[in-house]
Amino acid sequence: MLVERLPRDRSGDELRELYRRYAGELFGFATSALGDREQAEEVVQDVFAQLWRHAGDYDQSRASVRTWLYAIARNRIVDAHRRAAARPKRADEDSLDSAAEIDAALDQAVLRWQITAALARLSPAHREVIRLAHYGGLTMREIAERTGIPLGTVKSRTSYALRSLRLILDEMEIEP
Amino acid sequence: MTGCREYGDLIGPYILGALEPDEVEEMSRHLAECDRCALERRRLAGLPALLDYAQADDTIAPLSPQLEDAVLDQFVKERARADQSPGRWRRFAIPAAAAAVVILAVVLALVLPGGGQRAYARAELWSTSGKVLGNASAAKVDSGTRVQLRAHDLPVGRGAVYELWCVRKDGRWINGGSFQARADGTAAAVLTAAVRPGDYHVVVVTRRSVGGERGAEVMRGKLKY
Repeated sequence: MLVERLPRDRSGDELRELYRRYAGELFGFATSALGDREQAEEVVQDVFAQLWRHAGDYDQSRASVRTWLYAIARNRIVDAHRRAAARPKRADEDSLDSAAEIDAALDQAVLRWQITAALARLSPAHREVIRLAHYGGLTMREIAERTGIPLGTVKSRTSYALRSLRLILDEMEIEP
Repeated sequence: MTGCREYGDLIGPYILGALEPDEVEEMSRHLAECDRCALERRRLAGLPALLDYAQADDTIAPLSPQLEDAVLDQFVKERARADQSPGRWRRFAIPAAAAAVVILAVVLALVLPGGGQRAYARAELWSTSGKVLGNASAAKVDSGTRVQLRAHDLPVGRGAVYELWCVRKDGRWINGGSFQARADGTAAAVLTAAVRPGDYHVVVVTRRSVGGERGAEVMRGKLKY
């Protein structure tokens, strides 16, 4: 397991692999929670610094690597919100004030980016039928007409797409 | 479990609410009778609610290469500092480490490619079907790069001669020479290619070239420097 090998990693290979697996979705999460790309990059860098510094403490039985990384990112984002709350606000500035508001918004953002990451792992064809049916609100018949794909294929593809998504979410330990 | 043969393809559209009204009625009746489809429906039923958390145009944004560099740079520097920090064990460790270095130097001179040159990059070699067939390590020598290659399960039915290629970052393939697999499909070879460390990132093994045409690809691997 990559995190278990991290304390002995001198080349950076294990860290690079972990970065490639998780940095994109963590960055999406941090960007949506902070609304600032630069701050989000700082959060991502900090998450990975915490990861290698505390890799020896990681307990696989308590949480998946993804859950652990999101927890670290979440704490950094809460810190950033607190710092922002402590400074004087501009009149036009919209920000989350209470801890409860921040918590609720972050819970939503975590799920949002985990689902986005799961969708990104589907094949483009599977992602497209889910996008058209769920987000676009199109029926199977409408999708078939729009894409030129036979109706039977659209139906079976949609079922395969959902099964694949369920497997990916199971692997990511995300339950409905 | 994927639902029954007749109605299995309708479960996904049914869950997403993307069937026509008559199909919905038909599927609802079927679900009341078919345990297999009912179980599949329960497994997938929570997905629309999860999908609602994301938005149609959400995508994982590409990260700047500078961020990855910054993360790795910080890692390497912290590790180097940690390795240099003194500890109580140090006075015992230094003589032990010195002895180990001498032993290691002798061992490396005997086993490493390039007549004792240290390997600066390694690659696992994967077949086109996704199976690991071997590995390669690259060491710098005066004339370029010496690649030590080990492989197994090579197809030997249509001739057992293979060629090694180093693919440069500009897309050019540099030939590293040919080698022969044993009858049992294993191979061990040391070859030299006119490339320098950092110039290339992929090594490829192909069948022997015929009439100037490069042979079919057998395996390839990305170098980890």
